[in-house]
Amino acid sequence: MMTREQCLNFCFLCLCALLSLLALGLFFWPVLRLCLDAAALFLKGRPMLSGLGLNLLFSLRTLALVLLLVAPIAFFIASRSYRHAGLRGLRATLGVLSWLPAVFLGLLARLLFAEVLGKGVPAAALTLIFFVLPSLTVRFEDALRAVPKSIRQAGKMLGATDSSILFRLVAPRAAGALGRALVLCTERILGEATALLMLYGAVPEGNMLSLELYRLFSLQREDSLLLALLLALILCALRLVVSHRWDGSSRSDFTPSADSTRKGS
Amino acid sequence: MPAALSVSGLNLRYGSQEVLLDLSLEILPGHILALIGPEDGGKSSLLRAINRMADEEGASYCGNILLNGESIFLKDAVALRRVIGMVPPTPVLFRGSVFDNIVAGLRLQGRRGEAELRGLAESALEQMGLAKEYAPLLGERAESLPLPAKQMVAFLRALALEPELLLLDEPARSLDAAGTAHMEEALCRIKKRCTILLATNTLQQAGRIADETALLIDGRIVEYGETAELFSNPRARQTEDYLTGRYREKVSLSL
Repeated sequence: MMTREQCLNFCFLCLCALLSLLALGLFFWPVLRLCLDAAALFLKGRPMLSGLGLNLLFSLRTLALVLLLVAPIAFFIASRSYRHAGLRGLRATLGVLSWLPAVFLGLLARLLFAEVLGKGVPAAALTLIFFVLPSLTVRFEDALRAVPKSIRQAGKMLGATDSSILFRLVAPRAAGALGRALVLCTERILGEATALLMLYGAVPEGNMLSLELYRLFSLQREDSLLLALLLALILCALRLVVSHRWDGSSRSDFTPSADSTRKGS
Repeated sequence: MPAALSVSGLNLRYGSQEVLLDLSLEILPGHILALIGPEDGGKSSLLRAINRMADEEGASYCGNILLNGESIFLKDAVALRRVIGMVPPTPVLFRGSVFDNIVAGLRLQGRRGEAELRGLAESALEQMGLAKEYAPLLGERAESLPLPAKQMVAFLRALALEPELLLLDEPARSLDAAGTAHMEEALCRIKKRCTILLATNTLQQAGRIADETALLIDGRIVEYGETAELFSNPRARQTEDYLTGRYREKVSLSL
């Protein structure tokens, strides 16, 4: 026989379960609808993906160029800004850049290099570098600062150089956070449309996926749903890969540990 | 015999705060010098000045410190720390196995030869008399060890670097009585190879293993001399008070 208190607890649990199911339903139903719509479009055999390959290629090339340039610069500034006065100035400049809205950055990029570089990958990449560098630097700084100071100190006591401490002790420990920062940066690069619209003034053909998405939406075509889903899937996959690959909590601070452990034991 | 380490007229300050005042002492090669004194007396600050870790915290110096006749301030700080080992009071171990941690300093200094690393790790284990006990543990994760074992690994890590001078800051704080006795025996063996500067709050420990002892209070050396002499026949009143436990009474009364 259940007591009154047990009955109340049971009712409360049921209510919680119902609310959770409702919340999950509210969240997943639009996603499910999107998937069903996309599947229906596929089944109809409409030429939805025509030209999308070009957009994808352009996006990937731009993404690669931006990451190749922005990741080392952000890491360099983040790892040294608190030690060198000159870099602190640069860091402050980046802080100002991070306050500027995408519209303004796009306009700035248009004035600075749209005429010279045209509508190709370099122009888009340079604009996006302005756009993501400040936030990536701040996230890298946070990631590196989260590593306990005692680790750096222990390294120094052992006669390690600053670069050795950074690359062999601090960066491996911060790998997870650095990886997540890069994924966020990737998401911003692939998802940014406003700054690029301001750069080009109109949507050029065969450009970034985000601009193509905007164009399809403005034409009220159903294909836009599929493109949105594709973008979301790519980003989700990236996030999953990074969270598994770069979760460095169980790894050694020293790369040769696997061999040495075997020999040692 | 020329001193292995010579500190003369050393003043150390952090901003406007004076931490060490006109401090002078010498350690002969193969000797253990114990620094005793109350907390905040300047023992750890002196150790951090000698391996120039105090530089990292914005300390400024006046005076000189000679290591084997050469001023440490004329040397590169990184090169200096490669010949001065230090064991902090709380062990900070890196991720990886016990072996990885013992050879961490060597790897960070760019030494990669696995045979060389293994040889130096074994030598450190033998010097500490831990070869049998720790051989099965070399593959274990260092972070999962109990605190006393972690402290021993930190000790071994410093020893594997084959330092000329070993700075020990309360090395027995996290050890039990047996561990402390083991460490003290090892120190008496190790001192034949490298000079040792030991900061300790345990008077008995200084009495057991130190050749010379210095009492530091408020950043000044109150008394400094052979351990047996200092313990049995203290010249300064403050030393006598400290050794007999009355110094603490005075501090608590003034509080």
